[in-house]
Amino acid sequence: MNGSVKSELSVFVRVLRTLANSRELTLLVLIIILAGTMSAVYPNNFPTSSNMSAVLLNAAQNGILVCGMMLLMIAGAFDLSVGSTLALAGVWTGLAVAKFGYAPPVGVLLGLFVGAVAGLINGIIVTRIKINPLIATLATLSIFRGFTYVTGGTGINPVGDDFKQIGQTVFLGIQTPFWVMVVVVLVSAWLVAKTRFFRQYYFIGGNPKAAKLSGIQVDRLVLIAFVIMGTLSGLAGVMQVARLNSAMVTIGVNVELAVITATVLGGASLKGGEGSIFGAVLGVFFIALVNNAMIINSVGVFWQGIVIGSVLLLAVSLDAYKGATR
Amino acid sequence: MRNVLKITLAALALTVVLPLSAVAQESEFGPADAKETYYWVSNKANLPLFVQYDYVGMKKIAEELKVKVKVAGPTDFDLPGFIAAAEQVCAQKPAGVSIVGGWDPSLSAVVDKCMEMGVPTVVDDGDLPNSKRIAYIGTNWTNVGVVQAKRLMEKLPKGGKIAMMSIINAGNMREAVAGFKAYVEANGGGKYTIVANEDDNGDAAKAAEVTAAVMAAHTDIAGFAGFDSESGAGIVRALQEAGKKPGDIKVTAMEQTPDFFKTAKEGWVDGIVVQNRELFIYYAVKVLHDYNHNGLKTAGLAGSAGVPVPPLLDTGVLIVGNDNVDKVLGALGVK
Repeated sequence: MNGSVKSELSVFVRVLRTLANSRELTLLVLIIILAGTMSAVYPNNFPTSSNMSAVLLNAAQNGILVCGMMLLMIAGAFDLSVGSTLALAGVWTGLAVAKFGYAPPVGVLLGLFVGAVAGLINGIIVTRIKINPLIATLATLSIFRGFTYVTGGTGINPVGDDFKQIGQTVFLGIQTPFWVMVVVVLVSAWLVAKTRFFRQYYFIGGNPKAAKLSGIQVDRLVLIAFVIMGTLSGLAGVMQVARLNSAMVTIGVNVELAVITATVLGGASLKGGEGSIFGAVLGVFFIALVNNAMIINSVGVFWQGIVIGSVLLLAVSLDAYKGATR
Repeated sequence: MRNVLKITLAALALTVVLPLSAVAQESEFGPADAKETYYWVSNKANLPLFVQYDYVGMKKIAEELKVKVKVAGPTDFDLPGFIAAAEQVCAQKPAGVSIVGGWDPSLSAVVDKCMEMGVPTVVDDGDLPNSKRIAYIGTNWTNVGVVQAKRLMEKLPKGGKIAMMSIINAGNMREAVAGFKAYVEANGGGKYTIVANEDDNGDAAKAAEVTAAVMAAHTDIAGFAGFDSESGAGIVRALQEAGKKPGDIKVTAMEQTPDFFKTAKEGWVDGIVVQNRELFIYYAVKVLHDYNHNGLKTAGLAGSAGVPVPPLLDTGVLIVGNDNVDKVLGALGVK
């Protein structure tokens, strides 16, 4: 092997190592490569304002949800009931506004409250009754969805002209749900990265016993994380219902898998102690762009799942590389 | 800690009791002292479309025949759960079972199993022609595809690009998609190109996302055909979000909620296919009841040896467009 090939190889290894060490950077590079390639190949289809605003709008729901999920996963827990909580909050908001005649802001508050209560229930089950989050939230996924069906009947359609403004008002070419997501992401990212209170979650996820011994109130913090997750699920449900002006009982089915996929893609570890809000949101955008690119490329619908699964595996396998090169 | 629990329980009780008192979802119909029980088994058994229409027929036939009609099956798309529910229902030896066959052709096996267990079994809303079912009651889904293709071609006389959207794995949707494609290919004179056949997973938000991507991929797209109940709502939402005007892109869809008919009045949708769903379970239970009781013979043969009930019952479709939407909105009381 001559010297120039060796030096090229070492540059390649260094780049790979840098990328492996920062999931945000990896995703950012992947997003830039994907967006750049798509823009070059499909200049009239991909980089248009209508396509980009649609991609961003459709990523809003999961963008809100990953903020809560990332916090939970940093603490070493997760919530499978987010889709059901979202539906329950959305449907009860719809009921409050359309059936009971409450003003839209009251409906929004009720949705957030329902989400917070659902999160509190999850948190109590996990931290006080000491049931594993997988089992606890698998059970509440079913319970909350059941309550949605029992109380929501056929759903509420339409919810109301005043109410739909909450999700259909356009600002800078994109509807409200996207801007709500932006605010949630910025606030969450700042809180998790910069405040002492939220930094404690990294200690909990890294080593819960050590965290407890060092005086961190582990159970209380995990419970708070579940309440935040529930409230954000409620917010996502309210925004989705307002966007569609329809509170269907079937919304949010299987959304938990998409959210956990994006969160893991964004750098979360199932063992806890790792990840960032920006990483998770980049994960959401990356998946949204891949989905969009596949449709623009006319990739057969049966292949789309294979591509998404492969992308997740590829991105997460960088962790193994990172571990091996440490 | 106690306070937290108290607050939680109080909040839960309040939030549960309030809406429960407003709407309660029934899952069985008929008198308490009914002598016979019939089951209806489906995926997404609480799908608004089912509750809105199918359950009406279910309730009516239960009261008319003084039998119990019960709903069974998962509330999400869970094929193994669906099959397990159907098998467990048949193991109870009810008077008859109607299985929604449109979800997947593999349901033929469970229909055969029920028949072998001696439980009269019919299929509704999507046929399983290779099963041993006594009868199929419901929409001719190939015809749904044909009706939508005809309407889109009428609205696009000069041709153009068309996209389809459905729950791609559902057997009845596949029939509709095949019917649509075959009709366009046979009668379109080469003027129409089907550019996409996408999956919306029966979710309006997903349908909106996919529609937006299809519009980006094909900026000159002329029409969309949606085959599940949520496709139309998602397509319309995406058109509105993209700043399109009613009629810019032609749309055909399936019925969703009564309010969705307003999209035909406003010009967003050019044809909404109504399936006559109230007839499905009504006639499914009637056929099963007749099979059990009418005693009619075919060439002297009774029961499963003969054909005491019709094997196919097409419940027909109605297409709602701007020509008849006012009547429909008036009849449904939608303002």
